[in-house]
Amino acid sequence: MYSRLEEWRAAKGLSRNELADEVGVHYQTIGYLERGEYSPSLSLALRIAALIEVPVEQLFSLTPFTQAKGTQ
Amino acid sequence: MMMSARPNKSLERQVDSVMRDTRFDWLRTRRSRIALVAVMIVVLVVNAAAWLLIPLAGIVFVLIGAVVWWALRMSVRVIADLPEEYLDERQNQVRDRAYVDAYRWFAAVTLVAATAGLVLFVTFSTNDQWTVTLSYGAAMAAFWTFEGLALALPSMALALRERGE
Repeated sequence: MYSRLEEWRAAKGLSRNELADEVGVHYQTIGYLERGEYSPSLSLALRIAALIEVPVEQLFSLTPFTQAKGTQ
Repeated sequence: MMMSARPNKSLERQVDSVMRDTRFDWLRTRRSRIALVAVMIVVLVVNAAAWLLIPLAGIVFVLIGAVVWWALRMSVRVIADLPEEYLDERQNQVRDRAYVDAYRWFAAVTLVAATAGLVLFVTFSTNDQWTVTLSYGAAMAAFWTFEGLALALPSMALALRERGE
């Protein structure tokens, strides 16, 4: 899985711990998500997307991201 | 964390103590976990050999094994010790898969040992009887090998599955 969570989280000004607390996971799980090493459940992906206020497909993808962040 | 149910204060205190325990974070890195698994395997093998060759040395290796096992437990303490409702979805998944791995490894070792025992019996028995002389050292080697595997395999599987930061 490909992930742009780290970029969007940083743009939102959230630390890993803050994001983890907000969506109810351990902070290490955010690290796994950012490195694309863990595929989140739909529920978790949607909670993160809602918190960061971007469509979920801007955060996670099954194919490499081709566009720069911010151009949707 | 996902906390759907909090049964009692004692459990809450235990959970808080596990989650706030940062004393052993240096054991929770990828490198430390792999090193601990490797050392545990070496200790289990050397322990069995020591009981067979020099039984007194076996006692020393049981003590060393206990220390390594404790360190291994500390390295995976959060995922290993917390109730399911306090783990997030990834941690639950890691624990489930690690315990399946541990069961498979233990089953494989037990099957190989049992099969070897049966083959030896069939090969060396006379009139369906086979008398085995078991020394104190051999009995202790077998006991501590299986005891060690049963205790350490779940933590070893968790340590290999949970990469750490």
